Amino acid sequence: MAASAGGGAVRALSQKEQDIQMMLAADVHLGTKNCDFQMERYVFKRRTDGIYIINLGKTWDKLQLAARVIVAIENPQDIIVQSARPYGQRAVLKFAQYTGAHAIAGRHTPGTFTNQLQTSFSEPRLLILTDPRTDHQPIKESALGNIPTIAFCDTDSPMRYVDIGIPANNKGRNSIGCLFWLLARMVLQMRGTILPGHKWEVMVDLFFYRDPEEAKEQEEEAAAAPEFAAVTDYQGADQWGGDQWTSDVAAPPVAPTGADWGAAPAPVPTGDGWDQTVAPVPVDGTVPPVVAPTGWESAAQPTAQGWE
Amino acid sequence: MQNEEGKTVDLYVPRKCSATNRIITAKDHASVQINIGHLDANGLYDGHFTTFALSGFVRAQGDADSSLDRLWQKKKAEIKQ
Repeated sequence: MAASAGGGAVRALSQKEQDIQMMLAADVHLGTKNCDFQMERYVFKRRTDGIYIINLGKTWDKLQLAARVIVAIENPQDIIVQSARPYGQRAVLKFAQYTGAHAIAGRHTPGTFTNQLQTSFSEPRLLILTDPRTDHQPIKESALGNIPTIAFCDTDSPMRYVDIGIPANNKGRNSIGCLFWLLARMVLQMRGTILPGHKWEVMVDLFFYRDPEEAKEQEEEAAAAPEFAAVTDYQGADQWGGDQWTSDVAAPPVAPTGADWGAAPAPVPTGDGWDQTVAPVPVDGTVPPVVAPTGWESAAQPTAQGWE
Repeated sequence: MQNEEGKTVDLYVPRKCSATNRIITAKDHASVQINIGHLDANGLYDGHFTTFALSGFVRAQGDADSSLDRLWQKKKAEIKQ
């Protein structure tokens, strides 16, 4: 019994130590230069440059407490995870995806919790925030609707209407993603989705914020394939040039046109017509009227010959 | 309220704040009730939870976090969590 209990303790302790090491790597322990008096309980020490260091053991305990509260709600859709700052938007969406909560990533529409005329109106049973200072509007509205609040609090965050404050650095992108990943994993472990002792295969990098420039670089790499397609289009243009070569082959029909020019013997009958026009000249004596009909008749006669 | 026979005659009995014993009135929209789940030996949620009610006065002063910590530490020791 003692051996098995020791084994359990070792496993739990090792997991806690791994989590704390991950938090250290993500700079979760760095606070700010100011300290709210209600956050003094979580401060470990102050550095010489004035920055407060947060005690990560207490952060881990508060994460466990928050996970217990989240797991006690029967319908995960009644939980709202919210972050107005860009660094927490991806983490919030991923957290909602894995735990079944409802995510609001972006600006909080005032009246979401109080004005039931709105299409986005909802009455959540729990509210999870990234920063009490940035997300002050949902905190105010939760105070009007009996909604408990969980928030990641820095050392200078206001604690009014925050029921569970998790002391952490909520200004670094790695820190915010790491905290949401840990909270999601704890919730899934308490629900039984992740068996105890097994690792969660979802990487913590999925919860980190990505710059639009990084996405643009990946798009440029993906654009390399369209460039190859463009080269293919250029070859297609060459084939069209081959079609032009085919049009050069159409040049030989010009030779039959020469054959049409070979119809010069036809003017001989035209000469006969001319003789006829000469005959009326001495009879009528009017030269101009004869010239006009001559042009007309000569125009008609070549058409008939062409038809023949 | 109870009458002389010891029976409760009120139709509505308001809750009390777990931290300060203040009465949570029907018009106190800032008050909350938080359920903290219990875990078994394997770390799985077993369906039971502990309930704490906090009044709006405590939350408005920012003492909700420390009060909840104090209450949960005491309760955790009691129920061997």
